[in-house]
Amino acid sequence: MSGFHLDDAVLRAYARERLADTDAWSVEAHLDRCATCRSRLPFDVPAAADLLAVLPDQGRVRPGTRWRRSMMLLNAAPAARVAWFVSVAATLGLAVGAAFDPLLIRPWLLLLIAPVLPVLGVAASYGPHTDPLHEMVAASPYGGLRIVLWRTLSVLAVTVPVAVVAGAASGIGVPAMWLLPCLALTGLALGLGSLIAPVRAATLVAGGWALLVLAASGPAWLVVPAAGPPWLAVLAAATGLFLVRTTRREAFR
Amino acid sequence: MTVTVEGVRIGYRNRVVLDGLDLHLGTGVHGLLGPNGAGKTTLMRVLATVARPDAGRIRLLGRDVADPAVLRQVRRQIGYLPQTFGYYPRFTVREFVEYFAWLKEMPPAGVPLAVDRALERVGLLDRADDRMKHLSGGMLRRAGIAQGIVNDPRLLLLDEPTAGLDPEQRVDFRALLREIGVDACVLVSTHLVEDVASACTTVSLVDGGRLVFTGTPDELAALGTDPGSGDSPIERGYSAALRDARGVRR
Repeated sequence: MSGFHLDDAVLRAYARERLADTDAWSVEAHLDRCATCRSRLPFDVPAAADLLAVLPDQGRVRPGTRWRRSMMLLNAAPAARVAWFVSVAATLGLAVGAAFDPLLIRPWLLLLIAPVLPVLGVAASYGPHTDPLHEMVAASPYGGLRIVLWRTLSVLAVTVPVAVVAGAASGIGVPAMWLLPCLALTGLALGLGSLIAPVRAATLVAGGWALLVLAASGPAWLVVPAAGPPWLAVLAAATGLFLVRTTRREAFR
Repeated sequence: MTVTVEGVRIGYRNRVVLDGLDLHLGTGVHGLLGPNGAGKTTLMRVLATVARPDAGRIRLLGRDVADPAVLRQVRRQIGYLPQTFGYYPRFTVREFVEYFAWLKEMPPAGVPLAVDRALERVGLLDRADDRMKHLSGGMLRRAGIAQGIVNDPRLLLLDEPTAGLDPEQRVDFRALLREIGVDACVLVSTHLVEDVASACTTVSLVDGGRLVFTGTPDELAALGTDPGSGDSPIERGYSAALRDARGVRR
């Protein structure tokens, strides 16, 4: 038997695991020897059945699934994408306007805007200037090429339907054909983006497209079935450039 | 060696930032000291595989990261907190950390637990469902640390991690560093000499893009003999090491 007993406060602190390790060891050494103090040890540990009521609320924990991962990767949108979402909405508005009154809203305006929307979206979604988390994202295994592709995918999922709707509303060419410049311009932006800064690449592509639409006397030839093969060629060339650049070295950082 | 850097040189627009720097780090907590503009942040970015050096050799976790396939595997085991970082305003704290768990290719089933564990370790679990935009500066910093440790990295790079933390949080943070440094390599870039003195096993001092001192905090403190050059032994050692390095170079 030991000549002293532990203080109530010390026992309480020990029971609540508030003691430093070294102090806890001395308390345990004493408890091993002293039945009196052992019997005084406060047991306020709730029964297993009550445990759930006592534990703090867990909060919104989502199960870790591949689906959840895809949703997170698709939805994580930098602040700059607000501007892009606004332009998507505006384009839809213009499409509705053009469908009601082609004199008020010129259909070629739709052709000017709709196919470059994904280009702007891609540019706005990756890079140190528009992604507040860029530095950390770039250091992750998903950084670079793969996150660019995920974000391109999320951009295309929204813009391609908008472009087809705009095509139908404008009455220029064949609505389904609007899809091709959409994809080709996005491919070009990615391909050029692997050579120069993505934002600069997007500006170049958007500028080039504007020149093409404005210079063409009847811009309908850009979106007729006959324009299909050239667009596919552009898409293939851009994809090739992108793949060559990104497999040789990590072009996007 | 977790980190082997040999003759790394990097420059931006005619200005040489790292000038043939060598660095060898193993398991433990390592401090990276140096005056502003010495190249600390650039070195951190090189080690985080975000910046690519113009010359030199880098091996992380014993592997050459020039090969993209190797780079991807190595990046899974790196944690990196940059000096400044933003956030997506509509993300909650938990989503913020979860996002990085996914980006680091963690196995899906283990993600929720790893996220909450990381939040618990930085003392943010009670704020897990708050939006990032509602956090204070110190909490943001801790959320940043949580994303760095969520994958239990073997190499943890923290650039000025104690900026914005109050003294009590700083003490907790140093305890966390020591805990992680038991089996991982932690490199902490800081300008606060006391952080190094109390949490680090070794100190590396960078000046003008070169490594000018490496040793234990005590060895650094032992250099300081001039009582007028700082308030604490390690500050005096820091000043003396810089003075020596600059004297040699002139």
